[in-house]
Amino acid sequence: MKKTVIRFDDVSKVYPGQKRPALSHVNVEIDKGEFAFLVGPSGSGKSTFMRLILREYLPSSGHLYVAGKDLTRMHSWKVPALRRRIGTVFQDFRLLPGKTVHENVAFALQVIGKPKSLIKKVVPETLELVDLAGKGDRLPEELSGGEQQRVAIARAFVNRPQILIADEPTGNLDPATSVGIMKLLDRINKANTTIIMATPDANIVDQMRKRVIELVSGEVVRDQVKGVYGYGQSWDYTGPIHGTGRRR
Amino acid sequence: MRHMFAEAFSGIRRNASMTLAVVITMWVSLALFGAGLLAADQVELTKGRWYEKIEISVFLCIKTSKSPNCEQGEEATQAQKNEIRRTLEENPEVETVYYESKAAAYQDFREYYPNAQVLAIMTEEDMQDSFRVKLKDPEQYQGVVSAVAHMKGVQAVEDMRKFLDSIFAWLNMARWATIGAALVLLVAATLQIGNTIRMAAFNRRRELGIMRLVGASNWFILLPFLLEAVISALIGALLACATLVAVVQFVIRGKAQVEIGGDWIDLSHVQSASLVMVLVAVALSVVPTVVATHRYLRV
Repeated sequence: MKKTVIRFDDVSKVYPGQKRPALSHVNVEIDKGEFAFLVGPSGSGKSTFMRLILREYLPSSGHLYVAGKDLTRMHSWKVPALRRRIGTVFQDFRLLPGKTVHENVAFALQVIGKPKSLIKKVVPETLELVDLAGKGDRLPEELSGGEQQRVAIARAFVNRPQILIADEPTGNLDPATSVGIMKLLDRINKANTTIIMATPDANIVDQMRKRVIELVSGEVVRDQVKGVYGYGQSWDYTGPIHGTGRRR
Repeated sequence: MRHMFAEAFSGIRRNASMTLAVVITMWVSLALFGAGLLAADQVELTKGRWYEKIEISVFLCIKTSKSPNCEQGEEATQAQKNEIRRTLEENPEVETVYYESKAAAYQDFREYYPNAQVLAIMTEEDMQDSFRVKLKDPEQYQGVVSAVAHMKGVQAVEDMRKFLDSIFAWLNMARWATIGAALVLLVAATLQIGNTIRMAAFNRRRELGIMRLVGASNWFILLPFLLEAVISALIGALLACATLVAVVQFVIRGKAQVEIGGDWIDLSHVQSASLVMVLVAVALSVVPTVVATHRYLRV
């Protein structure tokens, strides 16, 4: 049986001081182990979508359920516990420059109070998973962009979260490197981790043939099971695969 | 836990000059604050000792008295004296009444001031007969004073409190000035702690951002800063306590006690003042830290 891990129930979000909603009446369900692309032009609400899942903001209306919890009713002191079940990866990696690769990944476990013995065991395992075995002692600036992103993914995944959120993770990388990152994310997804990835990269979306949720001006205009990038070709949820979309 | 202490100490090391500034400001302001508290103790101590000895003196008319209660050129009569004594003794506030005759007063004066030049021209007749009244509660003197002040044969009622009160009013003012100055300095120290922590948090904003992202609890994020602030404030407080101990031990007990005599504050007073100072130091470091880091803790 499929288990829903994220459910947007008529969610709207209006930022204070703005008239136009950043998200408007969004209804989306994402199941455990699913891989969903979030596409749309900048300003379409992708970031808001993701930040709501992290509960950096609360919806202005509607309900948002993540890992079985209604975020609109969650006490703020429970938010850290929620975030421990969600890994996050950004376009700009956000590694700590003074710390080695190993320390950067270990940091995520240290600050949630995990014991040293566990950190010693899990961090090298995770570095191996992201093909960085043997580079634990390097500093981030000694690594290539692709390698830095692998460190960031290792840090996001080291606590084995249920959900991985990736905000344009290949945005700073060349196409060849991006393919490597996508393969890594695919591998993590196969380990039953739900992945939501925002990207403007049409090639990646087309190649992966995963679910595509398209946002335009804060509204979901398309939600396809095995979609491609193109804009607004179909609103058909379970409809046929569109081979040709308008590419960016 | 080790992580937090390590973070706190690395914060103190990175911010060494700011931390030093916090320690010094805390030290001076808390020492001044403690001095204010001790001054209050000293005033109370001196007050208690002097008030205990306070008597009301009821001076009786002599031939040269010009009070409206006195018959011109006449001494108080025995009947008046008896009436006055009876009134005093019947007053519930009065503990003892003691009659001091001119002769006894003259004798006392000669004993106390054997070298006074005025003795050469002073005679027994210049002294006054008086009733010395000791009260049960030295604070409750008004009733007794007004009871006898207008009786026939009473030239004047003198209460030593009047003089003492003005002295103590000055002492109190000095003490409040000390505490006031200390409070101003403490405000500066508090702002300084707030700024130091704000800077420390700003320097570590990347770490803090990631800590929040991976689900570190607010306590975990806040505690290193809290430790950093509390540790530097406590170092300042300990220095201030040590300063007060030294002052009381060497200046008060070592010199004033020996040279002036009387009741002086001792280390037990420093102990209770120190407790207050430490509590103030903790409060004044915790509050600005929580305020300064607030924006980094918002979920």
